[in-house]
Amino acid sequence: MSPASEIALVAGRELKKSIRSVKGIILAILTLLGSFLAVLICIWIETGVRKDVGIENTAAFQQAYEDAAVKAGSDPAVAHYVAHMPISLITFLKVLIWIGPMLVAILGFDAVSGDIQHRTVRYWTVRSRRWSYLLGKFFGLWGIVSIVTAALMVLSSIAVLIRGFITFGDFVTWGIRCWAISALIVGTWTAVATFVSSRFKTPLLALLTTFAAFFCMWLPGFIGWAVRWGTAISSAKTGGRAGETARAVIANIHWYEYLYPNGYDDLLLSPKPLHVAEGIGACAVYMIVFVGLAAALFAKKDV
Amino acid sequence: MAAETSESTESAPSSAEGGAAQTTKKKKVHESAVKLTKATKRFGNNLAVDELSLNVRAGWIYGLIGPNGAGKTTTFSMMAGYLEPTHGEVEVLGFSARSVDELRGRLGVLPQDALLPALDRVGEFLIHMGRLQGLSSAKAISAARDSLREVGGLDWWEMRCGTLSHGMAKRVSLAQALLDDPDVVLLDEPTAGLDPRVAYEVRQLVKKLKGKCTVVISSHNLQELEEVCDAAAILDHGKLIASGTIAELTAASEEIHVRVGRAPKAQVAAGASRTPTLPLDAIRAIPGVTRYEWDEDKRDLGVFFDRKTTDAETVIGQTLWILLNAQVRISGVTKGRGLEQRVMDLTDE
Repeated sequence: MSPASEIALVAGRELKKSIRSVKGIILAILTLLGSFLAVLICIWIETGVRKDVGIENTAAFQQAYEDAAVKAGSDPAVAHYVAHMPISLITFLKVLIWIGPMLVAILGFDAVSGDIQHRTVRYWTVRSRRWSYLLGKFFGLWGIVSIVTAALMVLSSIAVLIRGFITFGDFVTWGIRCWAISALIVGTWTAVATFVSSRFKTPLLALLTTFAAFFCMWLPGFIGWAVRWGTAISSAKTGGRAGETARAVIANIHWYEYLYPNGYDDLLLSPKPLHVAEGIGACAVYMIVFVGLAAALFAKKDV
Repeated sequence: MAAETSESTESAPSSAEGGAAQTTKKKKVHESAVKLTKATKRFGNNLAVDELSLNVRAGWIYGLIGPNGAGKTTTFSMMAGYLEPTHGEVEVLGFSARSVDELRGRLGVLPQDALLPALDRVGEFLIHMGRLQGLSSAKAISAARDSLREVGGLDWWEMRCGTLSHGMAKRVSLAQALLDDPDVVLLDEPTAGLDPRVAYEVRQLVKKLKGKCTVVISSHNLQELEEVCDAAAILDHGKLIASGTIAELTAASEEIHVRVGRAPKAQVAAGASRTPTLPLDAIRAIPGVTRYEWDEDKRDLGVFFDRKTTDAETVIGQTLWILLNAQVRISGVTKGRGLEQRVMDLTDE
């Protein structure tokens, strides 16, 4: 039997298990709450921004946005691209990548540790390569969280579609793209959660450690963001030009900020293929390192 | 790799619910089904198994015996690939115990304390196990049904594993170990916690495996092992104390034991001794008998003989004849010491 078949079998079972367990109910509740929250945030932002600039019409609003970005020093092509991003869907993306890690932690903390705790894993290790089993668990978890985020995206999009903030075309193009980006970023969190889960035989410890690990990943991103904005604000106070200040905030990303996967969304949303490739590469490295390490250690582990 | 191998092709019938489908399985037949070579396992400073070497011949039902902490479960876990030996080698059918791809579907394991996945239905769990063994969906369903039927649990197909009683869960676990007729079956305490009737049924099931596959059983239940096993290894403190066929271990071909009954109450009341005088000289004179041991406290008469000149059945017949003629009441007769006594003797400190 090929490793791919083993992985598919284990991942498929994991998906089924998540949907029909208590977790399935939690998932449904979180999806509805998440959608509601996303829509509220979106309406608040979208109506607020339009009110601020005094433009209700979407096309006129996008043109004004593009003009402002060019004036601030953006490349005209990039300014056009950014101005035509539907704010609602970008807001959903931000919500998804914030909710994603929480879903991953809640759904994934016992994916492997639960099986190790009760030695249920022993039924699998005589039939499946250990690394296939682990990859199956990883893909199963990634799959279920991606399904939840997709459901959340669809529900929220329907609400803003009715409200007139996006068109159906926006939903098909940008909506799917935003979801794919969120899924990619969720993959990195899933890799870390799978690694942590495979190192513990007490699920509660795995849950706490997963949250601790996620916090450690968030911290460099937050510090980098705070430093950039701090510098920009002091520059503005000392009479710096607005365009240069804005560019400095966008361009001066510190290396350690790459430890925070949610920061990759800017790269993945970029109109420049190189940036997108960079974002995909960063996510892939994250996943390969953590899942690879987890699989290597699990292969040696006494169960 | 010392195991000699030879290729053979055999047909294994696999009956589906509605009809019988013939499947052809290509199997390697090994003289040695399970082989441990100086296998050692340490947990930190604790030496659980110390340079253990064992050779379980194909087709045997083999017992792993020993008191708590003897290293039975650790040895079993190394055979199943759950634990990696610190030193030494563990081979199953000529492959490392962790060679999942080579042993897929050929090694079935009943782990002692592994919980079944609570949310899975019994049927789908077994089908999933079958699919992981490389069976097609239809064959996995058929194998799962056959296996569950074999352990008497076909009615549980739709039940969730988490709702099964201990005995039912044990039998479902046994069903997954026997799925699609593996070549080697490892059973860790297969009857622990089962009621006597179910335990009896499980023993009968294990007996039925004789000749079909190699079975290694780790158990505390020595009577059970004596009943079903061809051979066994006795472990203590992680070391091999003794191994061999059950007849060798119990010295069944070298000694017999007669348990002498007390005199009837009426005779004792009339002044007779509670224990009648035994005609020990006559027993010593039986051809082939080398010595006897009479333990008055246990009322046990051991008769030792030279297996080259006589056999246990002849000695039993002649001894009983002499004792009955001397009006001695007999409570029981055993060939050899009994595995339990043997283990007590060997592991007693």
